Amino acid sequence: MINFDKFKLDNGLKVIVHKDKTSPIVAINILYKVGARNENPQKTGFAHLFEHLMFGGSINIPSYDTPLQKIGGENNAFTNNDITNYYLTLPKQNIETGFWLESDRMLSLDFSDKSLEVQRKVVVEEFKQRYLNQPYGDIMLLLRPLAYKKHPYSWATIGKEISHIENATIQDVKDFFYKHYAPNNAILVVAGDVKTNQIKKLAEKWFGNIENRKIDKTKIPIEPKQTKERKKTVYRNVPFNSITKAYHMCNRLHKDYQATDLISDILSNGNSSRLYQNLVKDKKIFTDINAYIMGSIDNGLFIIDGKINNNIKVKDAENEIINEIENLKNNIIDNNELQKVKNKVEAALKLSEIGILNKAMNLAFYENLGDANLLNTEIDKYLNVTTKDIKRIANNIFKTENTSTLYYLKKNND
Amino acid sequence: MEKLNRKIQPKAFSIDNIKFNNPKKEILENNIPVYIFDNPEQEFLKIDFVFDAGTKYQQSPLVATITNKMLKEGTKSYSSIKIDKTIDFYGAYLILSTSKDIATVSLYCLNKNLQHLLPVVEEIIKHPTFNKKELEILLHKQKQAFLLDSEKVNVLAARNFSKALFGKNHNYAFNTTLSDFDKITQKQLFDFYYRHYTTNNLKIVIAGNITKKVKSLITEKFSDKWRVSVTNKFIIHKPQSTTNKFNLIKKEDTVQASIRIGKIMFNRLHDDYKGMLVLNTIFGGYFGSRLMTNIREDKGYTYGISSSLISLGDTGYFAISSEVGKNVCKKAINEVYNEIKILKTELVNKQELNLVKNYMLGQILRSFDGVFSTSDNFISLIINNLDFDYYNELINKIKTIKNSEINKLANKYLDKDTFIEVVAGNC
Repeated sequence: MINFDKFKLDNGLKVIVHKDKTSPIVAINILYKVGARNENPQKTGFAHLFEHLMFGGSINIPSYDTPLQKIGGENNAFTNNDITNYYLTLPKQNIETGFWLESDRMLSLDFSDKSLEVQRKVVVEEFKQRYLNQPYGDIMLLLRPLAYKKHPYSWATIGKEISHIENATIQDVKDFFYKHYAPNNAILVVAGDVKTNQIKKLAEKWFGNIENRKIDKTKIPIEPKQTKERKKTVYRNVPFNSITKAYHMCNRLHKDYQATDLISDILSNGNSSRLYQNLVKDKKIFTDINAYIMGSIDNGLFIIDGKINNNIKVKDAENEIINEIENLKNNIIDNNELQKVKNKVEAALKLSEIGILNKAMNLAFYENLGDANLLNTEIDKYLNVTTKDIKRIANNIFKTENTSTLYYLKKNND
Repeated sequence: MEKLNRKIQPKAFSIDNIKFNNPKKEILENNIPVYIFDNPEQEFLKIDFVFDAGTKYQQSPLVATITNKMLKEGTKSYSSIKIDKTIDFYGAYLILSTSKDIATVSLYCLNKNLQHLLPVVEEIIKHPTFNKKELEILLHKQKQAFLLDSEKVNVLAARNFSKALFGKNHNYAFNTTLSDFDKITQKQLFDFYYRHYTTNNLKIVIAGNITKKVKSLITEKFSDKWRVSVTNKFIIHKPQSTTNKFNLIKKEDTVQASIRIGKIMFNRLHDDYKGMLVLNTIFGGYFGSRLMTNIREDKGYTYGISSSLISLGDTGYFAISSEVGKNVCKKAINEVYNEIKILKTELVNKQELNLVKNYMLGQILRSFDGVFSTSDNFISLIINNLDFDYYNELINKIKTIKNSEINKLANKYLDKDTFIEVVAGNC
């Protein structure tokens, strides 16, 4: 059980405080409710590029990192399709520097041309390092537009193509900032050896006078129901053929979310999981295979992704995956197997409560879903899943017409 | 209400509250030391079995790693699948890993489940069978993973850098080739196991809520004289670095080059290590480092560049690594040397030095946050037979070092001619 206090400033900033007396470190997490799904389809990769620019100096502070490092702090950030999340840890006696830094970049950036010019290049190198220069690195870049035709999940956080990043202008950056970065579009979490009153005072002092802004409320298009199976084949310089299947699934707040997650665990969490035991160890079809869900806020994807042994035909490998799925659709799973994946989730949730930064991030994440206390009730939702739920949901999701398959094959394949 | 001045940083307080204690040490009847990091508040438990069984002890490639990985692929009383099922059912994590110096078996679990899991871990450690069928499966998987890794420029650079640095046949050099996966035999694994997975090669480190029950379970399972090995003094030769300054591992159609630049240096036991650690931080050891500021934040050549000082059991090395766009590869290498030259010719100004000092103290503070990270810290010192007194000395060094000493160290150790360069990709 993670305890917390919650309050809201007049400008709309939500603040959550978690007290942990044992840590010499304080964690500050600021979540902005903007991700790649809020991007213009002609200007993708922006939320992430913007995250880089948030370190390029704010209106009153020329460098974000230097003053933080000077007092023994450290920070980082990540962007995904739904949110942009900034976090820092610092010695508790220097907590105010964190408020000073974060409030100033919420107030305004300094929108420097040099910073934009350099970060465009850095992000292009990141694009290459993570997606283009890795074997199989572009699988998700190919799969997303296959599975999503209308919803902006059709592009990855890094963007559709390098040119969108290369063409970003300072005006684009300003527009993006004022549309999405604001106290009324953010959640601030502080965790550590702190008092709620102390945080109230600091929050009022540093964030209180930032005006709220008109947030871009452009409706995110809804993905129409898929009615026909989709397939795409690409050839690349890779050592093994690979197959990736994506199935549309429910959203993060849907009552079936946790059960769907457990289906992915039954298939591939741990060495005793079905796909590993049956298809990697026993039948030696795949060298490696995984099933997982994307965990996105809007309707997500259930993904199965395997690298095929070189002596196995792609079609045969695909049929083996389908057999495993049919098995889930046609048979009620053993209680013991369901208990196993529940135990695994329980342990994983407990483990994620270790560490001050983890707790701060989790609270922000669940508050963004609607209520930080969902963090504490999450486990019950998993424990309540029944073997019947598993069968019902497997039948809902694993339909041929709900499938997008990417065949990522070796060049010169026969 | 006073007017807020956003231009001025709030008052900074020095970092004097770094608290850490050496673990409580208990010795089992068979002389295995058990190091205890206790936190009664925590429900999760971590137990590390640390063996002197790293790759440096192996006679031929892969033996140490495969021995370690095979421990859980079947034992006297449990099949591989039974082990996997038990670990998974109790929501535990069993992590096997091998470094150059040590091999570890690590168990993470909820306290309440330890009694169900420890008997399995006991078997894994004392009675593995190195089942031939399981070995074949594992080797096949590992071979595929090796093939896949061989496509990555950063992996190619790291492997070849290790060979160039230590010399092809050195105990610390990476020396695996694809055909080695077909040569491993069950007998080799047993031999290695009998020599290295013994009571006199083992240290146990536990962290979490260490109740009487936890202690008695460990005592019950691990205090008998299950195996003692003859201790041969381990002899390691001096590294023989390549005499080729620039080593290119060509890989066509790559959009980035992976760069490693470095040289043999020393480990934590050397007098200059702590000072070099400060120098390294300034140079390339944190986000605001000179390499990052110049090569990423000013020139945009890379997503990241860093330098590190690696401490091994018997030696150490200094390395700079980065992935850069292929058309700026040469320029990036030049900038690395430019930064080295500046370190040698100009004194680090007080502001930068103070920043780095505080940053490093903050890092140490963070690394002792919680018993898990504290025990990880402790394990990293085991290879050099050090305990947390090392950190007291390090903190003292960080607080007292002057820029003149940094400059002296730069001139003593960062001679351009002594560096080896390895690039994978196009350059």
